Amino acid sequence: MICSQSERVTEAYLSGDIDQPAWRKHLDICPECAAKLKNESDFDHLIRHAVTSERLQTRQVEAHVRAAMRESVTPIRRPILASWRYGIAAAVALFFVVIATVGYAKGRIERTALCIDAADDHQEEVVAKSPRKWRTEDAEVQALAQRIVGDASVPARIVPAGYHLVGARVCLLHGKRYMHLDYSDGSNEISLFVRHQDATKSLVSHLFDFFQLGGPSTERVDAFAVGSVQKDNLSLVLVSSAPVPQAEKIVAEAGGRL
Amino acid sequence: MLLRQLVPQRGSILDGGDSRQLQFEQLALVHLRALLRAAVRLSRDVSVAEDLVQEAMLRAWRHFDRFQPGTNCKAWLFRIMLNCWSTRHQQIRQEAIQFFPEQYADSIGGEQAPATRFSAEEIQNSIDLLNEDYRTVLILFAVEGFSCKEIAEILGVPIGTVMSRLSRARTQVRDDLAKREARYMKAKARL
Repeated sequence: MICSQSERVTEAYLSGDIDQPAWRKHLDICPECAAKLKNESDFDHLIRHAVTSERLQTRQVEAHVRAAMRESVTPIRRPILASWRYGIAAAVALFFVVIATVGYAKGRIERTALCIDAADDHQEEVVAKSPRKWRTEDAEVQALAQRIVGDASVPARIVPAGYHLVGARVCLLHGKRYMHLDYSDGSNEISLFVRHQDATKSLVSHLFDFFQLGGPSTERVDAFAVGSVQKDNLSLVLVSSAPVPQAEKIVAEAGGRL
Repeated sequence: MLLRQLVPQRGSILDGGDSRQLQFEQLALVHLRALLRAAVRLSRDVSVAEDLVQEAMLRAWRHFDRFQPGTNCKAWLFRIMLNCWSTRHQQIRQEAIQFFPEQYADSIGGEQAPATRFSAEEIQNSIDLLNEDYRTVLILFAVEGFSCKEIAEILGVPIGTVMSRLSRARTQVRDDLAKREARYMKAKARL
């Protein structure tokens, strides 16, 4: 006996339609279709058993999955970010070290060059008395001081004890305009060079200046003691044939009155 | 049984007892064995299968917030794993079957073996001879118990395609087993 439905059993089984009441009813009365359905079902049972009988170890995979989950759950403390922080801090520190080193070296070089120029100027204009136009009148000196230094009272203010002003003129030291003041105590003459610092400076220049020595310092250049000091926006250079300690004292006093 | 023992109590992974973690363990991690079983048949290589399942599980974990509670998590996981597999498939050459059963000591709870003259290994070999598309639908249907509709959703193909692949896969396995049977009978007759 051949059932007209038997050809459709496999399709109904695969699609799931076999569970519908109409099919259930038919299967109850049709041994041919029921046998075909059992054949399909047995085949799947065979496949399922063959595949599931394989012994599989899941412990290791699960352990790996759990470990990876744990890592991904841990709030990302971000070693990269941490290293970035360290990197940024190191870069900033390095930047300041470089700025400090360059600033200090630049200051030393400029100061030395300035001292040499000042000593040369003193030798030429004061000691050797080269013909230069000096301003000797108080009014002229004050006007010059106002123009160069920005404060007319500076020449009178910084005069060392026991000295008097001989003359004043404008000169160039290390490429910058200074007011050259010549003082005498009757037997010795000293030169004081005063300059008003640039008002407008770049940030880098400010950083460099920060690391430069601003306090009084004196060194020997040729036969002279040359000292320098900075206060606020004024810088002062002294050239004297006196011994270094005495020159230091004059620089400190003048610097205090700037 | 083993997996149930391994499913941790609340807070076993996270000290704070993360509910997402617990939910993932209860809904997804319990299907790890089914995934591995299918992955082994799919890739025909245990180590590749383990990597595949691991990758799929981690991907599922990362995107667990996209899983809609109440829907079929097992189907969702299989979809992820098959996506991982198709991505990998470009890179991995099909290699010879590498099974080392002695390394796999865990026993699986006993479904009674059907009365058949074929060994499990012979049937596995017949399945492995199928092309990948046929093999996949056969495993999902016969082993994992997905309906054709679910398989269609997992694979992203029409249900008609699933049914035709499934039908051909069954026919091919049957034919291969019949050939084996014929060879066996021939050899027996010679004796």
